[in-house]
Amino acid sequence: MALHDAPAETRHRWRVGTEAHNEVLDFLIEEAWILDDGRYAAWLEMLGEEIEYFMPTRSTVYRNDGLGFSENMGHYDETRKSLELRVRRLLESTSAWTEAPPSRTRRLVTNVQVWDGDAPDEYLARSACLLLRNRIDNPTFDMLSTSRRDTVRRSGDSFVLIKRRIEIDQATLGTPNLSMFF
Amino acid sequence: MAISGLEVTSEPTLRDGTTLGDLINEDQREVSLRVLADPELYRLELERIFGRCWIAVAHESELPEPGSFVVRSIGEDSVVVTRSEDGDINVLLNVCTHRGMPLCRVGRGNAKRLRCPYHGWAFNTDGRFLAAPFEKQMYGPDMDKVALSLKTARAEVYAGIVFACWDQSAPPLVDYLGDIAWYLDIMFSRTDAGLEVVGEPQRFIIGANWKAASEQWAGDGYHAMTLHHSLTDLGLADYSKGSWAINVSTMGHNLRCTDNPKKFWGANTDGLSLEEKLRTLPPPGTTPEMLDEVMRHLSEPQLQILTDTPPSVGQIFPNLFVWNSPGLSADGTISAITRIHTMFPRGHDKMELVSWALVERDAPEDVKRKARQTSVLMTGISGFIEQDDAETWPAIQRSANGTQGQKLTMKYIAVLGEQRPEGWPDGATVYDGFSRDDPQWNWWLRYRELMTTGPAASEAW
Ligand code: FES
Ligand SMILES: [Fe+2]
Repeated sequence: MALHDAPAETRHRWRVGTEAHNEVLDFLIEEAWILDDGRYAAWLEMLGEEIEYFMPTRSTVYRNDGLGFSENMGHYDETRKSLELRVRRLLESTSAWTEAPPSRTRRLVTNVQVWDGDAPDEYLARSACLLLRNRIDNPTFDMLSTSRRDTVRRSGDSFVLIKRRIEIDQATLGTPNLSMFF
Repeated sequence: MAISGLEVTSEPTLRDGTTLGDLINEDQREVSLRVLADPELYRLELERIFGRCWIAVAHESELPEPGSFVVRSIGEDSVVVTRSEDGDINVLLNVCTHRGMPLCRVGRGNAKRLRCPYHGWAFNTDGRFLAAPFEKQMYGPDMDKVALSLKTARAEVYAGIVFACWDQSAPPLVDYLGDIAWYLDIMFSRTDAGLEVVGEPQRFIIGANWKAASEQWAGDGYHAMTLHHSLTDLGLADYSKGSWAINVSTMGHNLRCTDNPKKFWGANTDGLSLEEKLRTLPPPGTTPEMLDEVMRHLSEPQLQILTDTPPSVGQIFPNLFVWNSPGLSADGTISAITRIHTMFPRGHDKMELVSWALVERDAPEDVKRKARQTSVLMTGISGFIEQDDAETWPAIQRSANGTQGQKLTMKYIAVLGEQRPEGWPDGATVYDGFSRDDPQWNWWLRYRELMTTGPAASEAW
């Protein structure tokens, strides 16, 4: 069993440099900058109405027992409405202390692969995302290394994200609270 | 009640001559910040608190069948919590009796036996030594296998929560919980099938002494209006009555009974019968179909409290946080938050928080989904409420690390004094009113009692 399943081999994969790959990559890069800049309202615009946004908890297990991810418990388990509420908390409240003052974050998004999705205007993508978080005057970073599996759908001349599954590489997270998006 | 029935041995004294009595000033009701930052004190806590109290390590639903196991900690010691062939739950020190290798290196699984990766000694899931490779050649015919069993803690379950205790002389769990057990039933033991844990708990590291979290969980209603003000900003909470509650406190445990149901459902239930009240304000997490079960599982006084001022949030000493309350889901409808956290100290300035979300096992799938999403939105690592709690503790730790900071104290000077509402059930000390520092101070008194009694501990003393 492959440790991290890629979408089925029967799907068409868009090689690096092909048009669809370029477009999805561009979308993911834009998203990373928007989040690093803290432009959360703009980020919401990149999300579809029906978005499912899930970051499962996990446990360390032996190879034969799979990957150890929960299928129903998350560090995040979000809908459009809950993400809007999370963004409102960050933007409208001066008492969202986790981000007051704001964390400095850097999302390094790489190893992007793109496949055809289930509908003609949809694509599947996976990417490696290293989120570095720095707070206050702490000289070190909290490092959150993840793989993300996305479904994006064409919208205007770009895309909206309609599904994201974030698989973190830690069973025990090294940051005391999650207020940032992956 | 001295937990082990042992007499006071001596006031713990640190290397520089400071005593615990200097740090916990009972006359002034102040606690030195140094208690959060002192490695010597921390080593003693591992013996006298974590070595003697009943510590929550799992929920029984995490061990569905014989052979199921999860790996947790008590203090800094790794333990394997197993369900053995006979259905019993066992808590075993995760250390091979041969040369100290941890037996389990995963977080959970199912195993017929525990086999050490180093030289291959094998143990039963109840801890008994089974066999060693080349046993005859290595050890001859007379190996004393009983003496080689894994070190085993006492294990007991209350309200679905698995507790473990190293101290053979400690009272049984139900006596350790004392009067608070009756209230735990109201929160967690209401239906035939009971609660189940959702998936894997959230696990994360907070860079602070474990007591920074614990003393807050022991009844700090005062911080909500400021630290959790973002909820008010978003229209998700109403703190207009301040931190009013009926705090129920005993032996360091505390539960806050609040009028949450009325607040959330906005219903006036005055004058209704118990059953009518239950139907108007269903206990958080249950469905109307379960109400007959609820009425069967709880006594009339319990149902009375459940419908008027149910226990919502609180702590079992020393480090188990419990929560069952209505919660607003993101779509504006009312759902439930049922959550327990425990924390494993990882040095004097670090803790690992393990946080479970629970749902009623028999609830329909959509009710469960909404409840777990509401739990994640409001509590735990990314929850609106607890994100900000976890922001304070490492910051306070930094204050406590300072030479001058250590000379400051945490204040518990706001005294309410016992206020027992008329007709309130017997047992525990009850504080009805604007929550002041009483239950948190009781937590420190219990801490002090345990730290000054019991077997002389490490050489540092
Ligand atoms: S240490 Fe376990 S068998 Fe040797
Ligand atoms: Fe809080």
